[in-house]
Amino acid sequence: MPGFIPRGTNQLNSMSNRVEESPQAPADEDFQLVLSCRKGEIEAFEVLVEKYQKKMLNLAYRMIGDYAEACEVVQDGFLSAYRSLKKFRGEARFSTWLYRIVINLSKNRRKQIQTRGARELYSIDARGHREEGPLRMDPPDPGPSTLERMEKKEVDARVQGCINGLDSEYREVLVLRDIQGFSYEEIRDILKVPEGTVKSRLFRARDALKDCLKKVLGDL
Amino acid sequence: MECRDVRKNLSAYLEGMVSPEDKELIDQHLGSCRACSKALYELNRTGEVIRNLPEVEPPPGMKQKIMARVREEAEPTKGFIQKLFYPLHIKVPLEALATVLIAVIAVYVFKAVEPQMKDLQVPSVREPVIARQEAPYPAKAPAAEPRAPREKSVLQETPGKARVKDFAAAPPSPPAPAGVAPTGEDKRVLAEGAVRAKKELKKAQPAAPSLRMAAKTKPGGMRMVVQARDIRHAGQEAVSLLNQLGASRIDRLSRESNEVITAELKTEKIKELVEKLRLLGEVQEKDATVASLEKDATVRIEIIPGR
Repeated sequence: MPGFIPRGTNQLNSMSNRVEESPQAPADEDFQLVLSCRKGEIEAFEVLVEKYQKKMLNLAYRMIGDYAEACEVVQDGFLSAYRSLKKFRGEARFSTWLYRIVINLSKNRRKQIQTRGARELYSIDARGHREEGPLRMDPPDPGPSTLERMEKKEVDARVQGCINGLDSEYREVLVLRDIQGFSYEEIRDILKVPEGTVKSRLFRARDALKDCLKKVLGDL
Repeated sequence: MECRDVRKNLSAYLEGMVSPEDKELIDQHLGSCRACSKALYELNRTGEVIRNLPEVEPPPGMKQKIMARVREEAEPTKGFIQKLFYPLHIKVPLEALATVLIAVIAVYVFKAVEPQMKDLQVPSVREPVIARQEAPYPAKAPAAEPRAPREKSVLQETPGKARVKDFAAAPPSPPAPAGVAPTGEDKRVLAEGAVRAKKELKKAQPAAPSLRMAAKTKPGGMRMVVQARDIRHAGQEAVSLLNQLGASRIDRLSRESNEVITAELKTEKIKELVEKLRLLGEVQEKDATVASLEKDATVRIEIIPGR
């Protein structure tokens, strides 16, 4: 498959472009809105909510794996951001700061959910990242044509199940890089971990996810 | 390069993050290793699957929900916290101004009420002062005051005033310095004094209503009986006569059978009075103790029908 590698490379690289923000202008715009919020202009915060609610929801949803819970986390995240606006000094971009808040809230929410034992989770690999609680092993799919036969919705659910099964430190880099499309630099800023650590975690997360997908979907 | 090393670097290889040397080695290995090529394919497919995950849309009204909570958060901050923690450069002068205003109002109110307060305090202030003056000399005070003058003063004054006068006449009591609180013994004496003062007041009160009775019993008075044809007319004449002579406390009592007039008259005028009364009728002097009388004598003229 000689043409596969370049295509794959391009595909993975293209994922990084899903967050389409030019580096400077929106940041400045966001900061101006933040300044307006501090002066008591709530409407300015509404602009920020409008702008980021979908991105935050998708991040929370992929992190938690539950739509309703994700919606609550996003609401809490915006409220928490509003309360802490005075602490925001503009050193990082507003979006980076907001993503960090939502990620942390998502991780906490997931822990709560797992403590309650209310969620059905999937194990993704034999090595077993099971620090977050007992995960339910899904039976491997028998036939090679399962992926074609399955409804798209079902496939998505199983993929999400595999993501859910990842340890949180792997899951967050995978979601930020391969789903949200952030650069390594941005991920480093959001998670406040060195870039090398981000990469090594990401590569391990991809391997783990690949193994899980093979189990739940059959041959890829 | 071994399969294990190649697998480890497949992700970096896909992202073009390996050095050109490593890339060449991996390319060479992938060309000859079917398993590693398959792994690369699967990794690539994993990327595709994840990328194909649909984006979820926020539920309708999520922004409104967020903003409602944000406004809820913002409003109490404006309403309560900002009022409580007003900027100091506004808050401090405001508080200072309020304090001054309260002080000014308090002074005005006090000044307005002060005159009324004085009126209210009068009786309550005098009593303890009187009692206290007398207190150190509970036994001496009555002895120093003769009985007769006391009764006289009671007759002349209202009961309340008489009481004040009596005690004011008592010797002053300097031993207790002003402003020093009385000792336990002092307090007891003080109380005794107050009780005695009340008793004396009770004694004095029955005497006050009947002036005539008091005049009758008074020693050193003069009593005259005048026989006149017209007792009414003679009575009027006697009263006008007493007025002319400068008598005081003239009291006239008209009865069917007689007229009784009492008055206080200077001793030296009594002779003149007797002479002028003779013009009205026959005068009989019953108690002729004029010589022993003091400056003012009580005169009792009884007019009875006669020739």
